[in-house]
Amino acid sequence: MADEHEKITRRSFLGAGLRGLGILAAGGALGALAAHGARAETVWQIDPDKCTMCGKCADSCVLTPSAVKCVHAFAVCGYCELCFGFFEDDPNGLTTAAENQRCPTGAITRSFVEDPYYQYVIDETLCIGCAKCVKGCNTFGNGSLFLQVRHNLCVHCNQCSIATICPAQAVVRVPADRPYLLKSKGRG
Amino acid sequence: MKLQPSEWYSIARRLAVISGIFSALVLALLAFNGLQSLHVAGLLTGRVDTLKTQLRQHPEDTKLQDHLRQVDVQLRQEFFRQRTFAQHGMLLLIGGLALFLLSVKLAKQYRVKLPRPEGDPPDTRPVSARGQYAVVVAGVMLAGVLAGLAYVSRQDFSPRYPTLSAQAPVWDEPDDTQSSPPDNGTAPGQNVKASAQNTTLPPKQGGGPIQPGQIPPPAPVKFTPPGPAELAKQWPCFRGSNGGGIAQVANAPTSWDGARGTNIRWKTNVPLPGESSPVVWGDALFLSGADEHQREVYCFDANTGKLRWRQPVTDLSCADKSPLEVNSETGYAAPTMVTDGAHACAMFADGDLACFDFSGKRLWAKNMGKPDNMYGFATSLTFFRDRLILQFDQTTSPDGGKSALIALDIATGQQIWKTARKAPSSWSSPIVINAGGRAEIVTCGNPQVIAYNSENGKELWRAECLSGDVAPSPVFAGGMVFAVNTGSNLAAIKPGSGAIIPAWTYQDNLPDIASPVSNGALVWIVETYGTLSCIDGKTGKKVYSQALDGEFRSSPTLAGDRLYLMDSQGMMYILSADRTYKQLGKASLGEPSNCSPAFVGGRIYIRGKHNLYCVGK
Amino acid sequence: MLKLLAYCWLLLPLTLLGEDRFPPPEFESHYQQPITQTPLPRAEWLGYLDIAVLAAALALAAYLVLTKRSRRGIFALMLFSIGYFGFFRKGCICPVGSIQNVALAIGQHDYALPIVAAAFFLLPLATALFAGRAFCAGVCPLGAVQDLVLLKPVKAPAWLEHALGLLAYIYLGAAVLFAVTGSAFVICRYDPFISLFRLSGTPTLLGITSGMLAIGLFVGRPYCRFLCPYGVLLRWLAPLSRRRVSITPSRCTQCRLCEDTCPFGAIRTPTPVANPRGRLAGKGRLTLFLLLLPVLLAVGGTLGYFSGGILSTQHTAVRQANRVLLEQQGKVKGTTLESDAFYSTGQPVEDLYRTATGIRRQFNTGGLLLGVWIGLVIGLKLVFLTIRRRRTDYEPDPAACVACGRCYRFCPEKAEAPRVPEVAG
Repeated sequence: MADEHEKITRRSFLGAGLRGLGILAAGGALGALAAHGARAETVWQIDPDKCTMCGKCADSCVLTPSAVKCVHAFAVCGYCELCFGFFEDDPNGLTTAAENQRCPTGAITRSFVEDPYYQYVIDETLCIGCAKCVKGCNTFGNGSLFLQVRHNLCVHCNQCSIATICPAQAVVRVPADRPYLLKSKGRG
Repeated sequence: MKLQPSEWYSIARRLAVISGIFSALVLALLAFNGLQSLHVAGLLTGRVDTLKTQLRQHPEDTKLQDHLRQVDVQLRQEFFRQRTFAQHGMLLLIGGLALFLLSVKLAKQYRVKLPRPEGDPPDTRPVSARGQYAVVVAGVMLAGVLAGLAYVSRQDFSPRYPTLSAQAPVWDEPDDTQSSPPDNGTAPGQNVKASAQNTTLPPKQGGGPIQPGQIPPPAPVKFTPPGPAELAKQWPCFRGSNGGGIAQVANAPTSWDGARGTNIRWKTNVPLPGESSPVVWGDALFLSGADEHQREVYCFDANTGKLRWRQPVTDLSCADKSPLEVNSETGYAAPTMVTDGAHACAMFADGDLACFDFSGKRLWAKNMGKPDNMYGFATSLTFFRDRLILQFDQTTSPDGGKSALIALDIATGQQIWKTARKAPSSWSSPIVINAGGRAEIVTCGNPQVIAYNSENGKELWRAECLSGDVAPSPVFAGGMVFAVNTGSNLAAIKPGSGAIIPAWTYQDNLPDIASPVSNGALVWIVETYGTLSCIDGKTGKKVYSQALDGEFRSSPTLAGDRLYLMDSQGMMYILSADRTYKQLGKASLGEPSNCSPAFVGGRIYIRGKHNLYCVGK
Repeated sequence: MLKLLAYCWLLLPLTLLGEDRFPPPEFESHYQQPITQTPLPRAEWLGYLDIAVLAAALALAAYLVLTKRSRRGIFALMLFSIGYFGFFRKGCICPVGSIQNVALAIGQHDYALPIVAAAFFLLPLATALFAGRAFCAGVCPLGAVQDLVLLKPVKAPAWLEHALGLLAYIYLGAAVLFAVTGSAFVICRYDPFISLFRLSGTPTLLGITSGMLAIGLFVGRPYCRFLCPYGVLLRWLAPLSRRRVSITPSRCTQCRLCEDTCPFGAIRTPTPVANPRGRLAGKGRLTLFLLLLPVLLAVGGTLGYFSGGILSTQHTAVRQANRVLLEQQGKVKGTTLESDAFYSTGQPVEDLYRTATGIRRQFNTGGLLLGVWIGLVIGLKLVFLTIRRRRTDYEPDPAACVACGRCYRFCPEKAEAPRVPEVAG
């Protein structure tokens, strides 16, 4: 055994050649598979146009809390005084009191900008991705709140466990260099 | 000091025991914490929500408010405390388990039992009958599992989708009639006959006046809903196949005189009155009529005007026995019927809905409930593929809770879906449009134009642009929906999703009864008291307006490059469908009419106050 | 005025879109609109670093197994792999799961195989051609975890091992079927230790992990031996390897000390002198099994073909179509999240049915192939169980040996510095 590599017999040479060929062939085939799309490296993201805000992102992620967070596109926001992302339907008053807030963890901060506009900011350390505010904003408002996979948290599973259960098939692979599907003025 | 192996061993063993107990403890705590956090998460949504609802009912209860706030803070703190605990606990658990494993391994190192092989060497040759038996057993079990899966697959887990060919999407078929209008040059009568044969009415017993031998007599064939090309040749519902008053004919008559009988093929009396308009399929024309006491459906021979059959619609029970009150102008048979080549359905002011086959056999009938409508129910039926669509708007308030859009299986009357509408009574009829390949049902109501998914009745989009008692129906042309009502707007809406703001609106001389008509480039509206306006479809700017003599309740129709407009005295204005007002002719029916005419082949069927006319050769 | 006009133009497309119920305000105060943060994913070059680490770890494992013959070294490498590929890289991506990426790239043309996945798939297989299952020895974090937690191995009878060993082949076939059709990555969905590496997970995953760890205390590497689909590929390639693991560094004196040291049942004992009756019986059986093989393929294929319907429900579109159909037929009341999601797209149901029918057809074909594959595996297993090879020494089965190095310590023979010519007898 020990001196096998010293004696290059015809048999061992042939074997090495065949192995090399096999690896080359496999490598070539895989290379072809890698080349048949434009960009190979992908990450997971939620398509806000497909999302039905069912709330499953909150407890289907491999991480607790989920790597899916609510994201705010300020450019789309109407800065409403009565924000249905922030407030319950039919709130008791337009105050930040607990009974009026929609968010179960109090992750949205509301601050006065100028009459009659208010700014809403998501605290992602508190957000659990339950989509309650997203639903409120999309049903009654401009839809400036939407869910996104946050890539500083996401562990990039080979198969996103949210994607396997998402009823709307809204969790999709996107190119790694454009990892967000943000709402903007143009997208509406 | 150097430790002896035995001392190392006892240290390692103690360490293993301690770390083992530690890990077990952490694990138990974690499990407890996990259960607790599930509980708290439930409370966070459940209990706080209940309190919120309670508070909404008693907004003044400050005690409840304080309690809610307290509970909310407590639960949130608990939620985040548990989450931190879980994160730290997992780390502790991993650490404890690692220490446990290491110490056990260490202990084993110092208690190595040297192997002492005894007896005969075990025979691990692969030739082991047992191994083969085991594999065979495993194989049989696998086959069993596969067979189970296959069995389940045959069962209801694997439903059969409706045969796709039979349900070919309506909108995929090329609409050839758009480019080449039919019956160029051929005699209209022949054409109608030919199309009647093409439609292959399913043979029903009796066969009525249909000649035996004209129709092949195979046993019950499943009825296939007609495609758009076929529909365009017929006049299946109010204002034609697209509900937009567009006639796919080029040779419609331009002159006639009902009183003298000039260019009138036939004229026949309609037994009972009604404001409903004729619908035509092949050589069968359907009409409904009713008075306070009786309701009837008529089928006329479109070629001769002979009444083929009349069927009463009676014995339908309605829970509400109070007398039906309708406006005399609306009458008891205002909704226009529909026919899809095999069925003919009629709706009456008292909520009776009946479906007949072409031989006059009643297939099904039901009372939809007495419409709560102050002027009398007038919305016409429409249909999409195999389903009958009924816009059933009632009461005087949007929150009346009775308005709905309903889809019924046209063959059985079974309800397919029903979507509640927040709308008061309206007299406008729904249309089915092809918006970029999507079949949408567009409805007008106060205050919104709402489009629904024709498959399931889910709302697709809405546009707030109408007000008052809405009677004109929407039309769809050039990719835009045009909706109008007096006192609000003529609005052009591009179908989309969600809440839509109309592309443009127009406010002068709006009709309150007659529907608009459009070829996409231009939109015509005619006010009841005679002002005809032509508006640019792209910009919403007025192109022209013209005052006409007479009152207009009948909806206008576009036939090729001609616009047909009939006043309530039966005078038809034939205008050029162009950017300038140009009258091409006038023709009189000889009796009043508020119905909309049906254009099929080279003929126009018009219902007058008493008689039904067939204009043309 | 001009400025105002410019704003009007900006607003125009918004009103047409109809999404903006409340037009974004124009602030009069000096309000600075915050920018929506978009934290970036892990840099791409780090993926290439992963490939480099994998290659280095494979080379080191091969060296430790074949040349250094050091269980201690392998142990250290295991700890490193658990640390790097497990806890640091959170268990993704691993060669085991990369099978599915390759399959998906073959089946779905809009999916391009990522370079990292391709490298992770290929490198351990290539290594297996030269150094056996070096990947399993100390590089695979899943194997390493199981190797570390093994405390008191229970020896499983050989027949049970043969039967359970079939599972891995079926798992591989099913995983490829679901991946090729773009339905699911089942290997990842039921990854045994992913929730350990992430210190969190869904209840199912946590259950699988704790169950696997508990079994692993007494059964050596249960996942590797009975389930691992990548192990199947390595199992085929390792026997072709240029160099193999040998228990003894020099020669076997048949001292039998290593006999019970392998917790994975990979050590084969020397064959006793064959007796002619057994051989005949073996021959008869071989013929029987060879004749049985086409029957097995046919039965498997048929059953597989008809199982396609239920297998296809793993695909979301098929599930959706089935549900929508039931709702349309009025056989169920109410809607589910999935059917609601479909209705909200506003597509005609025919489109959904057409998609679902296409996928169902793929699954019928795929089920047929899966059934044939299962038949083939069972048939060939039976055939191989009848074939006997003559063996004079205690040596590991190259297909089953995961090169953990446990047996090295028990061999009394030392590597001979200058090789003494072998004495006959």
